[in-house]
Amino acid sequence: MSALRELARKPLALSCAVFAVLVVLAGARYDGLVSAAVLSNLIEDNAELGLAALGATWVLIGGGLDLSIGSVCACAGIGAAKLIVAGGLDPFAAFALVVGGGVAFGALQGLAIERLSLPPFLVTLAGLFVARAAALSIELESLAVSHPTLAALGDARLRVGELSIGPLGLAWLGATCLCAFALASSRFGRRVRAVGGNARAALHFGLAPARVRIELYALSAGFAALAGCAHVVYGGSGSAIAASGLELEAIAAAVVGGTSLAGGVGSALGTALGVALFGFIQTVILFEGTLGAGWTRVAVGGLFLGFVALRKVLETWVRR
Amino acid sequence: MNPLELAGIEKRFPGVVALDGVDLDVRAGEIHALVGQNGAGKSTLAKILTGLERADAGTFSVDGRRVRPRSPAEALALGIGAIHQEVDLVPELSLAENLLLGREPLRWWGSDRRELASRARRALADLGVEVDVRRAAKDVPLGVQQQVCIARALSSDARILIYDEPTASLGSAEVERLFAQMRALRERGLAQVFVAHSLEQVFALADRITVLRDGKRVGTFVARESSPHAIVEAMLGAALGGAPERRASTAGHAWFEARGLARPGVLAPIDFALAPGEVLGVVGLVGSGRTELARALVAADPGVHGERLVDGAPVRVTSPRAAARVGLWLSPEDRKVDGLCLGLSVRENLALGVQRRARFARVSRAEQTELAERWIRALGIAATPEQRVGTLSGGNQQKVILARLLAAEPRLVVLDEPTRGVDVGAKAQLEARIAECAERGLSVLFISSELDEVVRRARRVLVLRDRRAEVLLVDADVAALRRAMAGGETAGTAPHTMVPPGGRDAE
Repeated sequence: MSALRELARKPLALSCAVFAVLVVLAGARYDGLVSAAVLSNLIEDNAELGLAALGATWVLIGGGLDLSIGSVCACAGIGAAKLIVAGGLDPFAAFALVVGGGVAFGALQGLAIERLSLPPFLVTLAGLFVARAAALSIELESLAVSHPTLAALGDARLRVGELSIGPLGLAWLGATCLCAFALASSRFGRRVRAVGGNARAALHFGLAPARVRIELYALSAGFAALAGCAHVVYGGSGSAIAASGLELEAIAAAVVGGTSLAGGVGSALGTALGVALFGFIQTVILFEGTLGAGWTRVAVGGLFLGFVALRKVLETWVRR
Repeated sequence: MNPLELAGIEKRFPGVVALDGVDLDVRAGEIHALVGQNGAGKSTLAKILTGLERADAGTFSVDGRRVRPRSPAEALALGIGAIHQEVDLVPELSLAENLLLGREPLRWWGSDRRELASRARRALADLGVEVDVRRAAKDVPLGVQQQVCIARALSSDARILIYDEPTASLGSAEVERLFAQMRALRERGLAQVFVAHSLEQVFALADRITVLRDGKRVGTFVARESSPHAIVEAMLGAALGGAPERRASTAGHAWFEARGLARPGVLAPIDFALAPGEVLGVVGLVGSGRTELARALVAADPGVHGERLVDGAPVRVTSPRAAARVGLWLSPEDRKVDGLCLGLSVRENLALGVQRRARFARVSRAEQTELAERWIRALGIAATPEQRVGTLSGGNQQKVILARLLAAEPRLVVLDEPTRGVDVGAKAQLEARIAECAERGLSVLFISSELDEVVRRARRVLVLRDRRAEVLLVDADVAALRRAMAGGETAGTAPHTMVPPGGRDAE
């Protein structure tokens, strides 16, 4: 009983519990599902979403909302591909450029939100349209990229025992650890939690909430652009129509990981867990074999709703 | 040269002159109270002092040096710290983090948690507060949160402290603690400005009192040589007529009865009964269950147990809507959050009150305006029908709520802190209106922390303590209520005892 109460109080613990139950149930049903190989793939396959979700987590904790993540991701991906293919740039130089561009785009959105006192929903919705249009204006068709550096990246693996993790997985896990640390004990992280938790108090304390928020939108778009780069490395191509709806998956993953839509609360590790949970569902459906890809969406949606409902029920029960 | 000197401060907002040539000087080692009715300009002046607003004209000097802080950060850098009305800490951060936010001790890898905690502990120990600084702000009582705010200002080397209605959300023990704190800081030579509503508190604490009225300074009084009466007259700008002293009479039999009204874990079962035209007072300390009782009565929260009898027959009340059907209406404690649609006009807010009655019939625009004008006249609301409610003062907002309840033709209204944050003049008016309604047969459950108000209006007073009914007192005085609120009072009657009709009505 008291363990359940504890669960209800800590959304992250609840996510862990749900995840554990799923793993046990699914592991009993499918041979070879719970294995190092599956975990390795899970990490590599979900790095793009994972990176985007980190950005979403920061913005949500700061009390904001970023709907432009998917479009910025696509724009960065196709932009990087074009720079490598048509511009002959080294992939890393191209990635640095588009991430810089993403940060600038995010900062612009933040400026519009703060200086004009506009709701983040509207400004980043406009950003969603603009970035998608920019992506389409770069290249309508998907653009395949072949470059020795990318090929090398695609083959590189870090082996830890049975696990073999690629560069994307490493980038995601590394970024997650960095964000977890920054949120918990860096000055910036504390400012973000303060601004998201009580912006008026933060202002009274002599912080500059507006500046913190602008930095957050820049950070979020930077992560989205990074996710776009991950897309290029992962698929070997850039596409202007990729990653549509990525922002909503990112928000869902963050919420499952215990981040509050009201701001002030959340964690990077939780978000990684949320992403892994979604990835795991997809793997299970893949193992089932007979179900089409459309079912993964249904399952993810169902799981998300069920999860949020479960948390609410537990919360109400604890309060009684 | 005084630590803080203001001269000829002016501040205009669109359509309003908030401050018109205000002078203020605060000495070292002085507690200087700032009083005035709502809209007199106290809050605006406090905001200018703390950097939240900038004056349009006038001079602002700290230690004789002209300054012009543009943000709370700049004000703090000048040595001006602020303690606000609603204690504002970041709920999810620890006390230590809140205390040192923006000034955390740093190491190369990030902030140094141990150093953070020990500095915070020292700053609080300096104020005589013992608390685990690692706890989240939301998990400690409001009084402790406020001490953290003070420690925060002091640890930034503030020598001037601005308190903007600091006692608004504190219980009486916490108020005492705060006052002891402020007196100790006075001994240390700090200059303190105390924006206040309660004259009792002002006279308990302040050395000098500056009175504002309509954005102008009426005068600065030495507390020892002045009296509450003189201050109120200065605030109102007119001789003070006595407030209506007549108590509502109790007559007839109980038409409404609550039996075992409870919400598990929140409110222990409570019984009471009300006669037509009776005002039943409800008092208790913060957290004693007053608001919970008010909300339970109209089923504003789920999970309420107990029975409500109207004219002897049990009625089913599962929501405020159902309560309204049998004539029970609640005026909630937080009028801005629960009571009014601040973005709508006075007319629209009143129309909401009669909407349920109208059901399918359309209430025409002309009828709505007529309704609004009638109630504006009846209650003396200083507003036009089309004025947005958010732009009204607290007292006028409360009158709009009262009008909305009355427009719905209720039989019982529950008024939860109707006079909180309302200035002296409007308080007397509200009280008089409530008395008038009671005379016309309306029953009132009157919840208030202002005990003298309760004693004036209600013959029977239900005292709550620790979320249960402590005792029901009849014709008690303020001292008796205080004793009962603190516990230990036994000389009351059972909560369902009625005052016999014609008992002690003629006064």
